[in-house]
Amino acid sequence: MYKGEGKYKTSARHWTISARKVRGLVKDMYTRALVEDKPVAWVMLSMINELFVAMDVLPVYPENYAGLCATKRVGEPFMERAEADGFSNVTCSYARIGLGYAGLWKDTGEIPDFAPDGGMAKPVMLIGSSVACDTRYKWFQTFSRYLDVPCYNFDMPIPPAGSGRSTETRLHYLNYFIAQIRGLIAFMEKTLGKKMDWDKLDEVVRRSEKTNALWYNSFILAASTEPCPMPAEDALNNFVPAFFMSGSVEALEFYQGLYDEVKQRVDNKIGIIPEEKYRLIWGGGLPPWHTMDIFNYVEDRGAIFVFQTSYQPFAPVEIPDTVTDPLIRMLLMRSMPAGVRIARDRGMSRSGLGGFSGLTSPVFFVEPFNAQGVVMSMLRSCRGTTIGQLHQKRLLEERSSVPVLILESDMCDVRDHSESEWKMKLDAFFETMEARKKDS
Amino acid sequence: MVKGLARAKELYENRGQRAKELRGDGNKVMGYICCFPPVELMTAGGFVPYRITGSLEPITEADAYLETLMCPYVRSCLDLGLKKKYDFVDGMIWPHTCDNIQKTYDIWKHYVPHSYFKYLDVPHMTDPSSYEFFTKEIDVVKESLEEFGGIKITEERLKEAIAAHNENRALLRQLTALRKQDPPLISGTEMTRVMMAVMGIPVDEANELLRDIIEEVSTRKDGPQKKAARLLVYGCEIDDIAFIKLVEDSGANVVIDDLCFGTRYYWDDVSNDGNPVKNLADRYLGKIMCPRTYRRSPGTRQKDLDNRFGYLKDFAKDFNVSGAILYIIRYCDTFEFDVPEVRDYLQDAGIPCLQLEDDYSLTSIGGFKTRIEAFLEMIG
Repeated sequence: MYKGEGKYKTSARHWTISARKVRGLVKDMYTRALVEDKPVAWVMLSMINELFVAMDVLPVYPENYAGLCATKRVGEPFMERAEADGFSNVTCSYARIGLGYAGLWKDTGEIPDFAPDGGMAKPVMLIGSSVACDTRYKWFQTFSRYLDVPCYNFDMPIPPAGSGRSTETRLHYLNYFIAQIRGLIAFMEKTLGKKMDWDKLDEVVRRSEKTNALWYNSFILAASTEPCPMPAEDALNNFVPAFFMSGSVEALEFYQGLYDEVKQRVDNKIGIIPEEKYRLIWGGGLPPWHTMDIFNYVEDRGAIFVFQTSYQPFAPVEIPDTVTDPLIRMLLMRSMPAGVRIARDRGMSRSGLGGFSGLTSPVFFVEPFNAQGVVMSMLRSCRGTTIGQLHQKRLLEERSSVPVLILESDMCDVRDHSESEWKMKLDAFFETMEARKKDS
Repeated sequence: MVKGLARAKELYENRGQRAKELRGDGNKVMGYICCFPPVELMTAGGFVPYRITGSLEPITEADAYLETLMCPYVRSCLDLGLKKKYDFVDGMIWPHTCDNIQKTYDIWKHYVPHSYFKYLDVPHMTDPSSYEFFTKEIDVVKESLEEFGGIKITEERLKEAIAAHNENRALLRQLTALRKQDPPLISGTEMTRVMMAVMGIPVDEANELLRDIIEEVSTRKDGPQKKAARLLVYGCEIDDIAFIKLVEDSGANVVIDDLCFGTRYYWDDVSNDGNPVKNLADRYLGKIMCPRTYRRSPGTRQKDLDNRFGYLKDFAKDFNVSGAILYIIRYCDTFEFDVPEVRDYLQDAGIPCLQLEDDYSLTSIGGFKTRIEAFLEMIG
């Protein structure tokens, strides 16, 4: 056991039954990869899990694993191993944990005994991408330092909001996505020695479309309801099957269960705290996985995070049956982030709000979810979700009356976190909100 | 008017001065950041291409708009923009090169208004589909420049611009070759000034300036003195002489670089046979050796490393270097990932390396001096 493990409980209390189920699903994901006689791929999150389900590959997501290590507070020795090789301590902490894990494994020939859930099983292939940030392909390219495993990176450029993309250029983006994913499939076929089962992929993608709709509907229903039946810290658990298990029967069943649970709590007006003095939005930056009980600290002060934008769902899109290519369906299914749909439904202008994959403007969510404050977190090792937060803060101040708090930390590196500073700033933030309430 | 190196120094010290003069004469100035927007398009469209840079002056305005936990070079550029130091720039081409630059797109657009602002998506991959995508992106930018500038960028105009910029690159390589001698005929500090000068004036003026400099340097008697070490400097955005001068003042000749304001800008030409837009895509995506561009592994790890960093070994051999300084600006993630790999690759080839991480402000210059001197002593 690593010295930091199990010393303190710093994970958040879970309120929904669904959120409590997620840990078991995650554990199963790692255990299956270790014990089942199936090929394992290490994958960087790119929302293409359907391909692995269709090809009977067990995906393992080092990004998710790093979050797990942070939650259990065992990330430090992995990061130290990567830093000893010269990787800067401002490089993505997910990546430092992943690289350190591979480095320690290479050093001893064994999975470190403090690795949670038995560790990540040896992969037959590595799959990275450029979706949302540069780390996603650089990290996987760098794995070759420790692992002699074929690697495939693919492109998925997403232009920033407001960059003037015409229909014609949107089409050339779509064509590029498809060409890149076809390249990935060819790589997988070659590595696995078998062909893609396109009928199965079609079935898996259509299952994902249903999963996606349930995910969106449950998250939006929860955020729109007072009292809020599912706080953001639960959503930060409940997004996991949609991101890392999409296309599976387990994911569909999970979201059916989640929707039913949220609906039942809404119908019976079951909230989280007795009185919602302040409804908040977690408006950007990844949460501090190592100190998630901060959400409970907020609740103890009469506030609740009703929505988080870090892992927001995609709105369901009507895809005509005439679209028969499962790859196109897979992309279209995730073509409308929640914020865009909400803005469209409410006739809100998106002009000048900026944003990009990784950081959606929180402006979209304030009014629809009746929020009185927005909190964001700048992360020392994540450019993808940090750049733009000050801009979004200014936009929020221009376009709404809610106060905004920006905290500073890191998603996995607890050495960059100050719990006392967070609590002090949150306390001051509540005082600001209280003063505004009195003034109004 | 002064000529040669003196003129380069004048342009370096008065950045933007010539572009402002040209604008005063009725020309339009097109700003761009990073070395990925094709300057040939701007020249062919009748614009004066102007490379946006940062400054070592303290960041005061940008703190309210860009996070401190990101590339300080980009923050410095925005700081100058907010201080209206880029008011002479009519338009801007903003490429998707790395997270730091891409994610600043809408922030710059929002707070530093220009009459024209165009996003150029540069793929990270180098597959046939990536080149096809990038060709289309360049075509889109080309059409919008035509609309903004009112000049049709015909194939003939574009080929002329490519020829002029190829000549520019050839002259820069010719000047660089003069650094092979021991002592080199031009110092790294002087070369940095030349690069900054060249990227702020029209290509024809730059070529004339470079011809003057080559003539002056080739016959000079007051060139750099021979020093204990010949160094390669690897890194990203060095747009000020301070760091290179520090290295040279510490007892080394900087004889070659792999920098965004250095060889990365001019080492490879654009083919002028066939479709010029496709040729631009081939050169800018395929030949600029920036870690933001992913190259598929040709097989083994060693082959992959040779494919990614072999040119550095060639630089080291051709310029007879005795060591390398790997100078990384903090939060430049793609370089941060590559630098341990570059260090080990060069050290395996017998080239000692010093790895430094800085915040672009050079506030830690004293500490660097000590480390550089210790490194020079070690390799001396």
